[in-house]
Amino acid sequence: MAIDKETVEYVSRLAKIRLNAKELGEYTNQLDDILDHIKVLEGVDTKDVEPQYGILQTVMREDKIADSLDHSQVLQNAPDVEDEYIKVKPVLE
Amino acid sequence: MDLELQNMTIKLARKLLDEGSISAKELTQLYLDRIGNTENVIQSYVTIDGEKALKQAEDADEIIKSGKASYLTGIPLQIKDNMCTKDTLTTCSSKMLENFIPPYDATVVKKLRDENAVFLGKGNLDEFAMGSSTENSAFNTTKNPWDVTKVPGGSSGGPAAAVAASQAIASLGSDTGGSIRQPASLCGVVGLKPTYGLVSRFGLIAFASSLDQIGPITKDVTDCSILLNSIVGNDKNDSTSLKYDSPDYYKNLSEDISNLKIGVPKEYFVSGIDNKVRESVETAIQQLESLGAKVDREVSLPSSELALAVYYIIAPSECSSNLSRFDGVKYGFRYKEGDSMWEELEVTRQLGFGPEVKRRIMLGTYSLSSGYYDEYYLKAQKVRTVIINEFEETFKKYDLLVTPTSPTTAFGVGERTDNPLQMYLSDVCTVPVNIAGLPAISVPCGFSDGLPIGLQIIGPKFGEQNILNLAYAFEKSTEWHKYNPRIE
Repeated sequence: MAIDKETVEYVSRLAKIRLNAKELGEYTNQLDDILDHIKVLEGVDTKDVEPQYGILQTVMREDKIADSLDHSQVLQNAPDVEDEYIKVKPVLE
Repeated sequence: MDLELQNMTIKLARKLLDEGSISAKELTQLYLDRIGNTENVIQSYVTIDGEKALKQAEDADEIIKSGKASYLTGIPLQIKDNMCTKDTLTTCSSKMLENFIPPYDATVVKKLRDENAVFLGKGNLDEFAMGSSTENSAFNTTKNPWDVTKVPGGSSGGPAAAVAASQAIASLGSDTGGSIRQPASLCGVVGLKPTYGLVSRFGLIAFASSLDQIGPITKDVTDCSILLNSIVGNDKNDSTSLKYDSPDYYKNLSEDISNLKIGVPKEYFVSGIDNKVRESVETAIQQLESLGAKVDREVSLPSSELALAVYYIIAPSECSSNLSRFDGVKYGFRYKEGDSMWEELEVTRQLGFGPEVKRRIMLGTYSLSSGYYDEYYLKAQKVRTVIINEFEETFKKYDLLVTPTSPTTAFGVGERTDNPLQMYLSDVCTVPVNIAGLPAISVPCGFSDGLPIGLQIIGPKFGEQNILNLAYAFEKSTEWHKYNPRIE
């Protein structure tokens, strides 16, 4: 096994996705299959190879003030709003 | 007027609109009627916006009358539903964004709007563009117009099926590991994934930011060049978009391919490839030779075989980060029955995302987590360098590479849904291209049991013109793009 149930449960907490028992079992098996396939990379010699961080260039620009969306547009899709604030349930006990 | 939409292209529609044989409003109405007659079977649209489309067409007609039309003025298009359209629902085919109405346009949409193109509606996809069949859509599975018991491919299955079924003249798709080319291949249409950074991704709902790229899905290569012209260009809102002075891809289309050196990498013809796909691609290669291209069949790109493994680390890693924004707080679905914010957030993500999206977020979170980062993510990024270097070396000797687009023709609805790894193998020929940030096209090159086969042409960075020219020469000398599916 490349991955066990306990690890999948831990990962789901990191990812902030609740899983039921059925999902936990299925994901463990499926992730194990996928990680097994990914093992082919272990055999590649990458001792002197630099990692690729995207195929990107660094882009710089001036820090200039520009127009953005107004409040009502930014909030138009929020599930719960009061005045100009997004509302959520208590974060701390 | 009596018009065969099945043979309609952007180029032909432009001529008819400019000479006044048809108005943009009439043309748009014909497409809305066609959608009305076929959509219950094909289901390529998430949203159809007839009223807005007709209004846009009226505006386009004014511009055409004033003689100020540009190439896409009045042309009825579909847009994949992961590109933001101001004031029109943009769902990513996810329950998470079921009610999301963007307050802004994606840059590509803005560019088309500035040309007064007509937007018929939004095309179905695998949820958040993760999949190869559209079966991961939270709303419905699009059907392949050639055989409605088969999938159209994915994730841009809606756009490819819509173009094949003449439910739009053309569509825009996005491609992270093959999501334009594979469905184009399975539906018998033309699909181009441009060089990474050639087209702005601003307003494309992100899946894997170092791999995603928007591109055209069209009836033929000419239309592909026309639509590409309209969407390329640097964008200050996308810092990964490149400063590159694109040629006029349409005006520069040329059938003369006698100066092109073509390589055929043998690794793309081995595991799991259908015999009929192999034969059709081989026949296509002979055709290219007869048209004057110089072909070398002994090319080897051994690292391409590692690309799928690299992809299934990098894409989920980037997706796990990108999709952390879906928390039910700022927009989208929220589970509201919890006692705390954290509980609501975790259940929102449990109920809002479908199984494949959750699977990839989990895989990516795992690859990036403490203790596993070096083993998976860092290793994958190093092998990515190896793959890129190998392509670069190869393109010193060859102008273009040709391969099959997909190892098989369209598979049955439900056939691969129980086995994610089997589904991932659909992308084995297309994924290396994204890993290296290269451009590639899929063009129709044959049929097997009535299902289309696609030829993939891969170029070096900014090799779009050569790719289009080879595809154009091939298309001009074959009939494959002229067949149309009959929808009962």
